Amino acid sequence: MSQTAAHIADDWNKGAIPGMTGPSRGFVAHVLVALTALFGLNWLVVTYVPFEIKMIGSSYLIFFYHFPGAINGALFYLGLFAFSVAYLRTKKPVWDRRARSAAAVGFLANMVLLVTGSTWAKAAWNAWWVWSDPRLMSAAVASLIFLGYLMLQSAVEEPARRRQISAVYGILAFVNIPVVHFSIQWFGQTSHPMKFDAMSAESIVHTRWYAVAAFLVLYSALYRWRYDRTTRNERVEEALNRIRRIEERTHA
Amino acid sequence: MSSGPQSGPQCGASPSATSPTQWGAYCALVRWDWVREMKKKTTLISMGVMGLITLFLFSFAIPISSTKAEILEDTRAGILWVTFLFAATIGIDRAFRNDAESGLLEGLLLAPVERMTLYFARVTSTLLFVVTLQGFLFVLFLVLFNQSISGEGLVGLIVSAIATDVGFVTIGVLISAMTWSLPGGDVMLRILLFPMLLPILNVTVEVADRAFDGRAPTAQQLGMLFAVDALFLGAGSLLFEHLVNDSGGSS
Repeated sequence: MSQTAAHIADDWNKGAIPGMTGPSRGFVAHVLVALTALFGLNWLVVTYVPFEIKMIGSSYLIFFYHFPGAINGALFYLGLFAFSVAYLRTKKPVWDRRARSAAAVGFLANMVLLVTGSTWAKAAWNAWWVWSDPRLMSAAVASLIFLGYLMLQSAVEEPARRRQISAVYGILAFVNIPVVHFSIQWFGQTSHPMKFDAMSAESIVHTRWYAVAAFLVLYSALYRWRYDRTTRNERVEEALNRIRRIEERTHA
Repeated sequence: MSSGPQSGPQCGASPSATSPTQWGAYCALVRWDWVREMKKKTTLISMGVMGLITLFLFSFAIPISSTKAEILEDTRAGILWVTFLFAATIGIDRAFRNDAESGLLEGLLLAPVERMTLYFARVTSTLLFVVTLQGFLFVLFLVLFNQSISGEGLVGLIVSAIATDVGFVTIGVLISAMTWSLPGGDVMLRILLFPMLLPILNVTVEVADRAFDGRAPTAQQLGMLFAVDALFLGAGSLLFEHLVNDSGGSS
């Protein structure tokens, strides 16, 4: 074995490639904190907030799982924007990996938002999807935009080109979010249940923001997992390329 | 670039052969695109035929008849804009693809022309094609679907259509610069572009609907369209150079 190949094997054995030796203690602790926070959320939903409110009954309880999707999705999309700008300025692959991980988690949060929103719509309006609801539509359009970002990852083969295109599209996607929001809010037709006065009760507001924090811990754990996995895959790919080059030189 | 016939859009003095000003280069690039298209007309014909086919497809998808006129009244603005969108996307997809396949894009990138000039020239020429196409398809739509439009509505429709086209083409050309080199790039262009356009389509379809009823667009609607134009123009001019500077000029 050549010296370079020996170094790669050594790195591998030491677990220098993140994720190769299983999840770190820090990651396990992160997940445990997230699960505990979510357990706390369920406890608040069962014991602290009113079981039902005027006009929409107990179906409103799903908003404690729905609302964090909107806030956290926006936070991770903001992360995607910041990491994409950082990549274009520095050209360091680490920012691209961070941007991709943020986009994946942001998309997941957005999907939780849509699924819980759609479930509530079925209970309240007897329809899984209501085209005239502005918030539902703006969340759906944002999901489609960021789904495009994720699809772009597998569409471009050359890594440097992929990073460049992804960063540009990531910025474009984020600056389009206000357009999506305002165009649909201003020209939509119905009002969203979050505008109901009963939703502003103190216990509901406290629990809603606690839910955002609890889900943020969960989503940040997923972001961490995704980032480590992306880093590991890229380093494995680099290592394999180095081994291939060594083999080619040996055979030549 | 300057070897083609000297017809088409004119915008000031010709650039000097040795060191063109950016404005001169912009005019030359727009004229060059226009003259090439007028010679072969492949893009305009493809877009026009696609628009015609889309209009016919709508006649099958929606029960349009004299006894159900209200269905057409509810859907005509949407039919018109979806037709525009499908047809115009062909032109946007070709904004860089044709030049890249014939090797001309490499020459353009080596020329002493700023990236922003190249971008705005390509946006302008694509916009000219799209507006020409829309004029043709709009007349066809009025004839085939037996529609009419009054003076105030028509002015509102034209203003909002041009405002929408600027945003649509600005962002479309930028995404076209991302996707032309990808395997299945034409499909990716639509996947990336259409969701970006949904918000402004939401507004412009509303404006078209009002126009068919003889009403002008509201200030808020036009404001939204112009704000989107400004946002997309700013984003396009800042981001385009990142797509062509590195990785060996869009490769």
